[in-house]
Amino acid sequence: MSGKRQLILATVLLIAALAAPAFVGNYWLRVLTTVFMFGVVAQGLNVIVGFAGYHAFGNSVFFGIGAYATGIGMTLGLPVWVAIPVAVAAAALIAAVLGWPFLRLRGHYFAIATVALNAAATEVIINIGGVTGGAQGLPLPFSSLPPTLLYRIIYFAMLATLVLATAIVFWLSRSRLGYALRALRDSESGAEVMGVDTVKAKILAWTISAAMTGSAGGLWAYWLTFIEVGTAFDISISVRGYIMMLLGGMGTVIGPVIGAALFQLVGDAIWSHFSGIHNLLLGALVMAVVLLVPQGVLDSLSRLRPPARRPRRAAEA
Amino acid sequence: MAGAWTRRIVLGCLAAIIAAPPLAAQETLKIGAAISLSGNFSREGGLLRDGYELWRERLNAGGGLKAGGKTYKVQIVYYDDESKAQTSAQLTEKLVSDDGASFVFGPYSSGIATATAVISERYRALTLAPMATANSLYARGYKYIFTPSPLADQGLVPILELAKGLTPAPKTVAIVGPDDLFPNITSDGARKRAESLGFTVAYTGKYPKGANDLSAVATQIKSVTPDIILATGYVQDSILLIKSLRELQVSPKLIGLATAVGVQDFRTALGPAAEGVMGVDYWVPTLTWKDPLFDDSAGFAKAFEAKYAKPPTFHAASGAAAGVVLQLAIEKAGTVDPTAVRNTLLSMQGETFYGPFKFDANGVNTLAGLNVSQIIGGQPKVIFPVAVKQADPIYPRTGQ
Repeated sequence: MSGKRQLILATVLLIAALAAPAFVGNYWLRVLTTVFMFGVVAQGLNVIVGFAGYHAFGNSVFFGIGAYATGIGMTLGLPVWVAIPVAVAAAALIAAVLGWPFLRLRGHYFAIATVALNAAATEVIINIGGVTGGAQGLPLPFSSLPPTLLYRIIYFAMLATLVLATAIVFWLSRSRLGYALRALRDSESGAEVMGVDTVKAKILAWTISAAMTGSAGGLWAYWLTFIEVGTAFDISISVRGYIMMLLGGMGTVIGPVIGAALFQLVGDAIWSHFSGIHNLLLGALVMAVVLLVPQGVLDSLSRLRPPARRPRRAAEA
Repeated sequence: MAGAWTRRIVLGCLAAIIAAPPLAAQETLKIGAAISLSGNFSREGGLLRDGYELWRERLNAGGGLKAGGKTYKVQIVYYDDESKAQTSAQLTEKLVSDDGASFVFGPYSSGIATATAVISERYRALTLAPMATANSLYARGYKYIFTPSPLADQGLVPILELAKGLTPAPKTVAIVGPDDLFPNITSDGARKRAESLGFTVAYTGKYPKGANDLSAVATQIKSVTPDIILATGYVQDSILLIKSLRELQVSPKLIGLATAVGVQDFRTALGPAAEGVMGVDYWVPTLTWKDPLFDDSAGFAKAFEAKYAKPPTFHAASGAAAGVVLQLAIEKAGTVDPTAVRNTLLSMQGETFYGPFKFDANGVNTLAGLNVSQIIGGQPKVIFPVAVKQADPIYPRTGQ
């Protein structure tokens, strides 16, 4: 799909999202907030996987770091609007430091290393104990705001984070860094020969990715008000994000957002009508998507258009 | 789904026959339950649901819930939280704000229940969480969550209380277990209680969760030769610990576990070494506490076997007991307003087949206690509290 069309689609979705709280109840507000949250996670993956071609299966580690940094910050008395930015900075910093050794690994090795990092992080949190709550989990201060108001605040905060993440991806798609990442995705040695500083580009990409994922984790912690390692560093967070990114279209600007919305909303619709076999149906749906629209729904949509435009799309990707 | 429909039709017909001359128009009381039917806790979640269902069915078959001159049929709306806290929060939100449930039955496990509690607290939906017993959940100042079960820090306390009355008096205690949420709470609780009862805690140790070799731990325990060894672990690591102790010929006067010793695996794996080992149970079918719905624990066990064709577990018992607690509170309050029912719960004292209850302001049942069983002659026998015991404790233990 062309950049212009993606922009129109994004604008329409944004207007709908801004208007939604006026029409839906708290339950649907929560469902939509979850969509935005996974949208941010999927965009985070999009940067490192879709652009740089580094398969960070364990990116949920930054979700957990964002959640825990927010929780610890708030427990120590920081207001939430300070704690979350600090958490985002912490996630980004950790990615930047760990990026040096980790991003020297290529292909499967990097993917496995990120999964190991996620597992290691849970052990570290448990063993630090103290401020992290260790194995007992960490309760965050309970907001005294009435639910309707609080949920609207969280809804708009999550939406704003998603818009920002998508804007960053949009910028990336036409920036020098974005071109460098796509070049190294296709051939890392080739990119180096062309004069791209691949180490710097990769580390930057993972830092951006971690910051996005961490911000989703931070808001999630404030939203749920109780975190424990099992749920904060749950690998299924990145697995879901991955499916959403693939579903919408890897390496596109709004594909991951579309993927998050489709996957989450269809998932919710399925379980509410087919309780008991919902996981089976969802699994079948994922398989169908992978087999039938491997390039993502955005690509399939663009194929409905006159074939004359197709070569340009290929060049764009 | 077909099963559910058939059941509904059958139940509907039954209800129609029983309520032959229709009195006042019956109202429905909706209770929401987001519990784990898939994922890590699907087994425990399913058992808990069995308990909730048995309570609902029996109550409705007896005419329903009576409050303030009205009669309510109870309906429970179930969703599957997939053993995930995030999903539980979302579903509880749906149950309370969309489906109109003003009461909630909690899930299995404290981690998930905490997510449930945050939502029900915001909406002031009264929540009974019989299988969420982490102390932290009840230390957060929530007003609408209650549990009829004893909290995690009580896990080994009844064994210590029992030990206090034994002769020759045991003096030293070793406490050991995996480094994990529940065992840690249980271990801290046991250490504090042991000290307050005048025991000397000679050793406290932790090993990594899932450890395959406990010989180092057993060696350390051997060096302090305690009279009592308390283990906070799960069934598998407790088996391993007892085997390691036996290899090193450590034979304390009392071995107490924070799990049930009635489990068949336990007796099979240890053979004669299981003899004399004590464990705790939330519930056993021989309890003699009374309530108007099931009469006593034998009555509950009978009703459960009749419906499900299998013996009940403590999960199911705690679920049904939570239902009875809610029922007693609503009937006493004479209204189905959750805040009024909460206030009644705080002021009342009562009894279900599962045990007595009186709640403090945090929703903790101050009368809840665990039961101690011991393997005697190859069979688990209840030995404590004295009121429900089936046998006298064998002390010092005679096992190999």
